[in-house]
Amino acid sequence: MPFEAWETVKGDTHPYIDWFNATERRANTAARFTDLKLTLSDRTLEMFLSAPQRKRLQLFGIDAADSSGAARGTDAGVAVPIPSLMANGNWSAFVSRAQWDKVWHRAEAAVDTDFGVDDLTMPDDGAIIGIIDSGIALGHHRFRQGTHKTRILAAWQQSARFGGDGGAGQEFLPFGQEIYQPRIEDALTQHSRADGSLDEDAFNRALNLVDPQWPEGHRDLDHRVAHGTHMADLAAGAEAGTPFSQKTRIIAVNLPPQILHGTAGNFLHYYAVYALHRIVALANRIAAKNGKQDGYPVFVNLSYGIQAGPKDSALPLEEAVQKLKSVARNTFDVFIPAGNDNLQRGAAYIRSVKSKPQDLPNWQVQPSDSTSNFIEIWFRAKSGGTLQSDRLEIRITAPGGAVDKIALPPLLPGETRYRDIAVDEHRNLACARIYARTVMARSGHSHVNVVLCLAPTQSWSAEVPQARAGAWKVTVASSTPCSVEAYIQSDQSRFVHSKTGLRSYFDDPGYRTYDEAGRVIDSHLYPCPPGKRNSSDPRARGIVTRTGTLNALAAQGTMHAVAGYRVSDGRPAAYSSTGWKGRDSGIAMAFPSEDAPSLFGVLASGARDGSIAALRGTSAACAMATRDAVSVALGLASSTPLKMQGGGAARAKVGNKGRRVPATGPLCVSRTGQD
Amino acid sequence: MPALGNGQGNGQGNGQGNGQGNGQGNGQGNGQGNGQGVATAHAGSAASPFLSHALASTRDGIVQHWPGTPTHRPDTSRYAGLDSLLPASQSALIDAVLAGLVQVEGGSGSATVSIRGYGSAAISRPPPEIFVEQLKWVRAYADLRGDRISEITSQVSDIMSYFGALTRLDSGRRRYSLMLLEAALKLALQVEMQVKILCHQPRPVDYAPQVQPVIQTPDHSSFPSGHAIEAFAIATVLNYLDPAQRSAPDSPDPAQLATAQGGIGARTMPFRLAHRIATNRTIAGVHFPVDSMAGAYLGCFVGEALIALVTGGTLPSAQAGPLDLAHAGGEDFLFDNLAGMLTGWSNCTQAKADTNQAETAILRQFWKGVAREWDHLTPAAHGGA
Repeated sequence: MPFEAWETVKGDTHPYIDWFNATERRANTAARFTDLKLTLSDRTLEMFLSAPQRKRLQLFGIDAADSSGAARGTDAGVAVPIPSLMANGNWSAFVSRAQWDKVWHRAEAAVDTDFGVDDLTMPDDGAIIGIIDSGIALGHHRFRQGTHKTRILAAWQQSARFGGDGGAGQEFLPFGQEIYQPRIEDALTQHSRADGSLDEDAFNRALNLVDPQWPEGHRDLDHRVAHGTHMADLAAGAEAGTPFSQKTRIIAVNLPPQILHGTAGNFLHYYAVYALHRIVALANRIAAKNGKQDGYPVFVNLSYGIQAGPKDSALPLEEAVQKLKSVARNTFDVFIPAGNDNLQRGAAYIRSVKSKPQDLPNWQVQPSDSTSNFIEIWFRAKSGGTLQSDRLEIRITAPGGAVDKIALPPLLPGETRYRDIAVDEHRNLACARIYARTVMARSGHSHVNVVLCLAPTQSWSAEVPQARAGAWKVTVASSTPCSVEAYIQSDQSRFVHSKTGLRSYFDDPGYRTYDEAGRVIDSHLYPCPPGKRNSSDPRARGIVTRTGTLNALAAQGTMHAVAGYRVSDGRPAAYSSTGWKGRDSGIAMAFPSEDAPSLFGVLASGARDGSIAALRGTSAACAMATRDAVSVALGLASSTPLKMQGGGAARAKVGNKGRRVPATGPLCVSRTGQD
Repeated sequence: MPALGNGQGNGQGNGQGNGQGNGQGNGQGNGQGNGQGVATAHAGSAASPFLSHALASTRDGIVQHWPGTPTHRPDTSRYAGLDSLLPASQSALIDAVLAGLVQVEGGSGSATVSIRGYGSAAISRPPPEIFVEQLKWVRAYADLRGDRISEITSQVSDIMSYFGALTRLDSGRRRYSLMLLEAALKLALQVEMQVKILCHQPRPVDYAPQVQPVIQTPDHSSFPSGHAIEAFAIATVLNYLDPAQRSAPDSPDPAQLATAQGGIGARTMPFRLAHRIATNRTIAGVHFPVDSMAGAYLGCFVGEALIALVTGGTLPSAQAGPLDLAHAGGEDFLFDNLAGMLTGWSNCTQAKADTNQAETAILRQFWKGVAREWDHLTPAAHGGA
């Protein structure tokens, strides 16, 4: 099998999607996926135009897409496989950016009436809370303003069947179904009993919030715990009649279930970007309808983290938020979790790489792993200049296999090239591939990014290749001095509760997990020695690092990254990710993510109204931060700094604003109806 | 379904303990209880050949000469009442009376359950294609197994503990009420075994090796679901007995909520619990939703019938003919579907002609004992459902 030649990836397709098309997609019949042209670029609200709206734009001299669906303008989008059941097959490409900019505000007003926002009630001095998550229970009493009145203005169910109610489908959406306030209230009325309780089984099925008949359909709300409901309760839940409830409205976007996120979260990026755009579009349109020129402040809770990335420059989602901030009528703040990967051994750093080859720590890939595994390797020129890819060399050794020496090819800006490096002999398919591309950094220089993709180590299908499990060795060399970071990309199972997607890790004999007292070693000393603020733990040093595990979406600080700490003693959660000093923007602040060593997580609602679940993680802290920002904006009680004797925790763990105590005590969820 | 041995043992039976009334024994036992076929305990300890031998030798020593003449004439009417029996014997007697009143007939996939020839409910196994379609629900529900394992495994042999969490149920102040619910359970068992052999439907595991149920697939017919019959029978009786279970006291027709139809329509707690117990069997991978639908239907009938028999009320009857599940193919077991199933029922009066007075007397005494345990039920004023 000829491996020497480097191929070029067509269009803007990201390596993860290209790999999916070459491997895991082959296990499914083509009919189940539709390729939609989606974009992560800085397009704004024209993403959501229906055919009548595009026609109307022609009055303003903007040419919408022609009948063949071909785009005018520079960005035609990338073909993203979307399950056919949820996809809008008629989704066509966009108007050009330049044309849209010309008539932005006039167009916005003109398209308003097509939208059906007439019945959405928004208090004039209120704020909008956006929740982007998976499994948000729309019928929960904490999201209502009365028995049959909801605080939810709109909910975009991204994985609901397009046109699922037998109608033509909402053509301004690329996939899924959007539900508005009046329909939610009708369903509340119809499925409530005389004692006020809601038949949630019937409600959830009536609004297509769960889809048990489709194996890839949503089931989160049928489980005991649903992440989206827990986060929405922390960020926006309130008893009806309280000031918080009266002054806030919710726009929810229910992401597709985990099985559709892509094993590297690659599709999730698109779902999340579209969700953010949609929330701003809706907020602006509601403001236009209400004649509110300066709009409403919007606070979005986005439970999304990416392990691998440049960490110093914005990923497409962060760029999208930067643009949305200028487009939103009022303030637009997005809160993201810092990440729970501090101890996952997923980050490695070599300060100086020269022409003598240096080993990265062994990449330990687990057997019986039914999902692909990925590493991203970032080469940065030491003096900050532009790194030429053809100065770099990588050696890859499969477990028990021969050494494969690979010189990277020259790369044009924006070009991605790839090469297969190992083959599954039984199936005669490539089971390992390397992609290489250059990425522009914030500084204006460019880095070289290599993505190494491995097929699952357990494949039951004749069509999907299988890679060997064990220690894969990667060695790097460069004729220009540079530094190297390696990140293992996010890796999730197909189903939330499944254990079949196993995480790989860097195996370095020098990595120390526990200290002499048996406690887990964190990136920073706690409590901090007096007089010191940034005291990293020397026992944590080594090639495999805890530092640098911060969510790759926090690179330029456009969004607020929130870390977690333990309520009982203020100790930062050991799993809460640590940022690079000087490399990324770091953590903004920390909120509780654990109650006590023996009391796991924080409490908020389970999937059913009236139930309680304990969930841990920086997502919970993030939701509390969102709530806090809303409270501050509305002049309601908000958080206070946590003052502890004996020094604070290092900033790299808890951010410049440090640890905050939520307004209603250690838990921001009050069960007495006082919040 | 709970095995007969376990039911008796864990209920009132096993508190042999030491001496009378010595604590709870296993579960509810009060020191006097006996399982079926176990010798009654003596006044101070359990039966044993050793004690019997000691009693014999003691008699030799202390009786002296006795030709066999009585010293006392007992009143022969003393032991006619139910309350002259130990709880285990009361239970056994009530079960025997009730079993004699119930008749199951049918064949080739159909079964009709009738109460002494009057009042009946019938089900019929749907065509094979329906079960093929239903397998998709077994697949969909399998996703929930992780959440439900503890419920599924404990409910293999014990569903009464779950109903016991809804209200006070013990062998003290709710002794007869607990006995009534256990009678419902055992009556349901009587019915279900006879109905199942007539319907003989394969289980999900027989359709695909991917089902892999988390508990052992039982040996008897999938259709109807025994757990559903039992759970809905108990729910119907509890919903009737305890006004606290009916959550809308200001409902326009409070009496309406005391029936299975009313309780299901209002989603009262006993029926929510019964629904969950039945659904757990589909999640476990040993039943189809349509099995639970038929089981719930029969269970409500058994529960209503039991209430009518002990209180002397009217008996329900499905005048419209057997439950039609032929179009259930793609349907799940949901409350909305369930409420619709029961609307075909109407009441019919009990014929007085062949009333067996002895049986009626036992059941009325039983009911008196139950009613005394509830403030709102007074035996004297009570005459109907």
